[in-house]
Amino acid sequence: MNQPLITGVGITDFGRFPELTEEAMAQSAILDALADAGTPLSEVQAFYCGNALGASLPGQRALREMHVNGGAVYNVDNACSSGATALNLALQALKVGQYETVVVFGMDHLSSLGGGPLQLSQKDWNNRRGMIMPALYAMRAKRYMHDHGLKLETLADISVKNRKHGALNPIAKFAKQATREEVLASRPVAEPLTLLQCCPAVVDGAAAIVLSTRPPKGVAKPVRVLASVVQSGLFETEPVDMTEAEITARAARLAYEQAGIGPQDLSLLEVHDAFTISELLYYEALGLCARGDAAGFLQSGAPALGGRVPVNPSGGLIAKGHPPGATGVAQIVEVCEQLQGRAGARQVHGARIGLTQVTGGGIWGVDHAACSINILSL
Amino acid sequence: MNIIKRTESHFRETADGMVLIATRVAGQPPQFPPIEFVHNGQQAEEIDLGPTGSLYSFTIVHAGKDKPPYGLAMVDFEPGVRAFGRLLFDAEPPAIGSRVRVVPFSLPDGTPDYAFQE
Repeated sequence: MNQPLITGVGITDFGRFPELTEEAMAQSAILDALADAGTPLSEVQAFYCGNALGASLPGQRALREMHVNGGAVYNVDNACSSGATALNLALQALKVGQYETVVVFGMDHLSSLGGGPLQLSQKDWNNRRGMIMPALYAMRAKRYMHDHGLKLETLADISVKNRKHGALNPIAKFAKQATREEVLASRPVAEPLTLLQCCPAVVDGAAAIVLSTRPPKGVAKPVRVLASVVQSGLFETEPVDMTEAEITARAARLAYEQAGIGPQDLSLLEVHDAFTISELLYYEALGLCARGDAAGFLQSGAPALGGRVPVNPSGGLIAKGHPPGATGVAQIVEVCEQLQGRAGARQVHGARIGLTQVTGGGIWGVDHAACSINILSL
Repeated sequence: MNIIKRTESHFRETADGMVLIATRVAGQPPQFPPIEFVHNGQQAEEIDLGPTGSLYSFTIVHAGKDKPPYGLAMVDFEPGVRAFGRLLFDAEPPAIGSRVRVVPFSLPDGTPDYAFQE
């Protein structure tokens, strides 16, 4: 079986760019990734596009004016997991030899959508009754506080940490540092979550990677994908523990097994911190700490830059922003740059193995509809 | 193709108070909301939930300056079904673990619906 490598990465600034389009931003990311890989556009045999909120045919819209050669374009919508799911599909095709060189990209342009929480389908039972994504996570947070004595200050400290990381990331144009007091004093969105504990509602961005089974010719060392897992949520109608991120734990078990490593081997992670409580739940689900110990893990300093295993050195979704189609690919770009030692002021020193985790939600009965985990190494 | 769309209501009044109506089809756990479509002559058994359940978790949503805050809740009922809906309260919301009742409410378009209240 062929072993695909990530040979180039590209990412746009993440911020508010109402004068741009998702297509223009995707083109920029793709051109940067191709240049990074030393690969001409003509060598790309297929494109995999992750997009959650645009209209139909997003990949073809983005690629049209690049005059690509008419090869396959695969459009993937798996909500916030779209980009990472696209990567998983691309790896399958490369491994069996269907293609030798492909581009995976993700994009979304939230400036076009008018702001506010992500619009969820009003055909959905829960959404018709007032559900919004922050509310689902707020209920998790309330229950976690009840079960484990989690303090509001600990929730806020996730935001403080990731904003501090984001301030070091030159593409995170929307990132602003904040103190614990400022986080807690920002306006309530869904109690106990305040505005600065939620990823910003309007951030645009795109990211791209080149994958190839051919000899690498890029400017940086190629990156291996040790594991790539996509899982779907279970339909749960019975009383389940909402403080357990079941799908992430399940995907992580599969990914660690595929990679032949454990959580103790990780140098860094990029996880789906759409809300502060999310990151705490994922510490546990990913095996970084025991159930109920997320607060202690955060307070130990381990997940901060300079700590034992930094989580979200890019700033994560909270500081960098969350254009859903782009997020999964952006996480891959960040981990590649960290492993290659070109992450600048936010560099995790000695980074050897990195993990990305992204979920996707928004339908009743299935708290997390999708989860993608990738483990990367040089 | 043999698809039947169920049109039965998802709540009803009883002598003890309002209840939600879950369904169970053979081989599957009960679910609320009730199943909407059944296939190939599948039978959907109706199960009353309530009139009271246990508050598993809740939140108060602050939708914006010009919109009043509202409560949302996950409520656990016998025989092991969790239901989601609006949480109504006066000054303070009930605590996790409180018993809450199923009460009448309306969707934004005026359609009769349910909510939860201590």
